[in-house]
Amino acid sequence: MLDVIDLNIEFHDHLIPETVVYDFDLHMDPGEIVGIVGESGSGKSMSALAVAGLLSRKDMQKRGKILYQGQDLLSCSRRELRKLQGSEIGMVFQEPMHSLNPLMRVGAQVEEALLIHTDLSKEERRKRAMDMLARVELKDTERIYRSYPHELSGGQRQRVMLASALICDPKLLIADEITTALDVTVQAAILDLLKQLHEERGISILFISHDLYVVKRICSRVLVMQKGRVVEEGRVEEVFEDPKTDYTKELLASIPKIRKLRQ
Amino acid sequence: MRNKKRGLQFHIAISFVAVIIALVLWGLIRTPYDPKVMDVSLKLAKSSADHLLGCDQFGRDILSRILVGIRTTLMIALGTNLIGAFIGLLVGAVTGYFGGLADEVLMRFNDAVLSFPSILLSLVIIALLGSGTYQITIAMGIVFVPSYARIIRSEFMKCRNMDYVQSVRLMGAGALRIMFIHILPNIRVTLLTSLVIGFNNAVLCEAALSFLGIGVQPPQASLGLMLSDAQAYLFARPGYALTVGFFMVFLILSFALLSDALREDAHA
Repeated sequence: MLDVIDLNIEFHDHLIPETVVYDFDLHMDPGEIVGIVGESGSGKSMSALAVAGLLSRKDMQKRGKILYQGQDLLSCSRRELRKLQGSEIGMVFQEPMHSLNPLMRVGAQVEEALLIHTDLSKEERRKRAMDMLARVELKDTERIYRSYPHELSGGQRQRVMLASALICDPKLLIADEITTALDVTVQAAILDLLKQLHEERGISILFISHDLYVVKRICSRVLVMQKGRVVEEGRVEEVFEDPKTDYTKELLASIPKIRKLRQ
Repeated sequence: MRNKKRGLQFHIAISFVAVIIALVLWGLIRTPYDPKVMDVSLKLAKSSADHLLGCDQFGRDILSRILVGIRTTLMIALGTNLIGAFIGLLVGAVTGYFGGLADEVLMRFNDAVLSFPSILLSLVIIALLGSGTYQITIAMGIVFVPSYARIIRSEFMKCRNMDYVQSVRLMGAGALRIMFIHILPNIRVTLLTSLVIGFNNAVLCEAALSFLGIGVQPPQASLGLMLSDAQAYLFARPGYALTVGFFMVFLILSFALLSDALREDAHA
């Protein structure tokens, strides 16, 4: 359903153009969870933003193709892109602190996509939003619906973000480091939730993280990126058990092991 | 401790503003005398039980004229800032949010307007429109646009790449919806404080223009116009100029305090 072919992203906002992603290729089947790992600045978020159609059209040049169900996101019109965004492609960002509008009630923000893409009545929107809040396992949805973001914890906010990204039943969810800002127990709960939603709804997830452990836990396939290039790609078990490149080996060696620490 | 102090300033500012509003209301309901009726026998009369603040060079009651004058001055300041803030908001939002060519063109135009001294620019516009209360409101409104546009532009630039803006953009929200429903409420503190500061500038600017004789026209009353009149009798009746000056200072001080208190409250 998603095919990225030879994507190159080049910044033009300085005197010397700078390429941040080289020849990025990605194929995703419906209902697949694909992970992208890599250190900071390896181009993983840039690739994800490009897939979401969120990179500005000024100051940078994008070459290649991003085919979503056969439609090229890079060459389609703004109107077509907007139709896809939200209803077909949803995205959750890293910082739950900053990804909700501090001055809007949570309910209104969850309903935002419905307001834009459907013509449901106010009550129907509210009902859908309440259902969705319950689906992401938030308790006391009535109260959360009415509260402002600062009244919620980080984990709750990230669940709200998931709810608002999923409310229009997108077929592709892009999760950009969604567990990074959370502590380990909340992280595990969010991952379980993500997996559960994946099984229930059959959505495809593009999961970006620098945390190999998290990727191993949730993804079926993984791409390893370094300095804007994909250096390794394969099934999670293969990559983790039998890494082909030195970079992947180093990455894997960097995971702290409890046994080592005990000695 | 600091919190308490901040609260105090806010309360002082609010009570000052309340006094001003009370004065305006008093002027609206009834003034002690008709502010336009002259009486030669009372020329430059000192304050007395009949005329609390005395009379001006035509024997008009100063208190009545101040009550009406504050209202005129406030209305001009309000109108000026509404015009300035509204157009400034549109210009600032478009340039800050979109950037690019629109930004370059509008901001260079903005810089050109900003590079004229504001009094000079108002003079030019008044020369085109003629003088009078509405004309100077419009003229000053236009003069105020660039500074609003700059402030609002920088706020929009700051907000346009925030995660929450990105995420509503991803939900397919249009530019107008993002600009005015999502970003605008988030810049309200800056907008509010610059409105209050702009208010003060407008009061001063009106005073200056009326002082020069091209603002509010007699026999109407405004603080600037009265100060200009009083200047001729500075030695004969210093109380006239001092009284009008006091009210003007009080007006500006109240709003300056209010803007300070608002800003500090927002950052608390």
